[in-house]
Amino acid sequence: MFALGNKTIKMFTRLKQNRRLLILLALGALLLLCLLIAAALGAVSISALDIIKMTLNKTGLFDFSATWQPSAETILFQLRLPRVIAGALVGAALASAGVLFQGLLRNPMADPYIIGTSAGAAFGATIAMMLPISFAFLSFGLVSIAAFLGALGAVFLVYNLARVGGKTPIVSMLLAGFAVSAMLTAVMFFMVTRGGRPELLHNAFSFLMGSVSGTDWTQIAIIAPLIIGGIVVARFLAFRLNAFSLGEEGAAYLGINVEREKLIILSLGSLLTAAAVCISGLVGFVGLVVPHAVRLVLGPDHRLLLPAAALSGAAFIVLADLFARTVLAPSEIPIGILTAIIGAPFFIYLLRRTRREYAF
Amino acid sequence: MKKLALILLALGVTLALMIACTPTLGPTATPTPTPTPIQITDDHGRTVSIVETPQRIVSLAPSATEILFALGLGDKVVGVTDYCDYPPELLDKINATEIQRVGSYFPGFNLETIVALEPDVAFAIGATVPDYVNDLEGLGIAAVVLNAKDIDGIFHDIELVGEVTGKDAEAEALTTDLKEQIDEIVATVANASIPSIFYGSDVSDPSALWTAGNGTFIDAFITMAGGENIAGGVEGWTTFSLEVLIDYNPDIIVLGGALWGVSAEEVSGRAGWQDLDAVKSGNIFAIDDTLLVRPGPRIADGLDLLAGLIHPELFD
Repeated sequence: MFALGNKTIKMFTRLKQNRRLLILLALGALLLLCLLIAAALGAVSISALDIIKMTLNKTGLFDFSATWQPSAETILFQLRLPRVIAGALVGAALASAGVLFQGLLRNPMADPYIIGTSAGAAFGATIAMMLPISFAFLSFGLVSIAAFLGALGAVFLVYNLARVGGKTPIVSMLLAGFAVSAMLTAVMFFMVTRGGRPELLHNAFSFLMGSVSGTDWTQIAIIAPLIIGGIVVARFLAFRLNAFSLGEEGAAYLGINVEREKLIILSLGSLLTAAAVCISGLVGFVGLVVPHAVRLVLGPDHRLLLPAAALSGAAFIVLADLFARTVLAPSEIPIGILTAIIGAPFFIYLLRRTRREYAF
Repeated sequence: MKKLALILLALGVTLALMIACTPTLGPTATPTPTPTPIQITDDHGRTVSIVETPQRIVSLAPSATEILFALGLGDKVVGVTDYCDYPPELLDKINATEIQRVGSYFPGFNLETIVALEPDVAFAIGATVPDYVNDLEGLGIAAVVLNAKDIDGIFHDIELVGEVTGKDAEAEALTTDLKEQIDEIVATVANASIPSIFYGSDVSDPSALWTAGNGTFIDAFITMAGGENIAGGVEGWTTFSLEVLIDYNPDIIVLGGALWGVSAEEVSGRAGWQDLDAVKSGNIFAIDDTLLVRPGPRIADGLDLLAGLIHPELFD
């Protein structure tokens, strides 16, 4: 009787693990499909056959004669592919950061920007836009660098402002984040309105709406390890995030060093967000809604939720960017508009369809 | 078969010509006009190398498009922005798909479309070097950034475009002509009284009427047209509230955006505007401001329009 029960439990665990693996494999395949479709479509049409030939030529093992314009190769390898990959990285980073912040703060409105990263990034970027100088470091422009530093700086500020007697209560952190964001946003808009240059308004607006256009391979080579590494580390934190879903006190009873883990999760989430922001500006919605949507469908266990959200977020941004650059081609639509226009109805559908009550 | 023979023949002739033209043997060989690469410095001090006279040009600003067409380069322009709307010839070429639109700087040009056009050079504008210019450079497309800060800067830019495109003489003729027209207008208003002017570039928000202060082309044109810009003491583009405007009570109000449907009648009828002297005396006008804000070849027309509104007695 006892032996049987043990066996059943074992079988059940294995089944659960397999299910997790299968789901992630399926999502990975979906992402790959999205990447291929996004690489094949664009303002300029390149035939699928030519794309395959060009890619095989790049491996050095084949030598198909060019049946395409030389510009097609530039478009595919220097414009479209980096952009598609940047989109996937941004989506994965923001969705993972969203999971981290929602799990830590146990707040359904939490997104990667909740404790000041967006306002800090926009503040930094606007200062950079106002400076009459432009330079590039490792192919990142001044605006990107300032946005990265601004995002991290704002979180650092919020964390320290919320710290009372060696503890950082979540409520104080949310409120301090809110106040700091409001202040930085106000100063940013002041600078934009008093900047005396109409294009400043455009540039700031573009930054706020986000875009993955114009990303190059050097930027990806720097950002990709940061984001992928960050997501891998985040996956190792899944157990602690599950513990946090019991509340801080509950987590402490499970033997979690609450303050230390809080700082780690917060730093990781902010780093992922800042990395995404410095290549894409502020792409909204994905970091809030993808984690919720995945949670609705797959449940709240962070061991599955985190990687599944990363893969779904990546696929989502890749598709949103595909629409952004093709719907009104050759004009482009800021990607932040599309993430909400495509994402919101889908999310509402999920919300209505799910019969069980929403669980964190 | 016949076709193949023709191709072979053509190939043979080309080859023969190429050999014949190779300037190797002695002084008798005809000197081919080898293209001499020129180095130009754009408005941000960037050195741009132009190897051959550009045959395919992309314009990333309405003003650059107007300059290119004014220099007779309409046939070499292959791409323009979504906002390029002049000259009319341009619109015909776009309808005939000889010229393609490549997006706009906000929310962003479509780099794929630009690259597919295989341009030899792109002209852009910007107070700093725009990101997309760096992107284009990275893709091997020569890009010249124009940034005229004053009227002389516009002349310089026209000549710079001429230099890049091998139209030096045409550019000089154009700037000489523009200078003459402008000098004549300035001379005409030289001794006239100087009325105060409010220029409203966007007056849709009564708490923030956008106007052009010191350092903008509008401000310079108002002064040259014999007026005094009431926002002249403020730097750059700025906003006035309606209260401040009423306090200044300018003699003449000029509104931009006539192309976008702004009308003097509608603005005059708004609450608070009726008390302004300019409105009571009918000295409120809506104009096509592209003439005044685009640093291109129509600035003399713009100045003429403005001077005519400020000093109708001096112009027919």
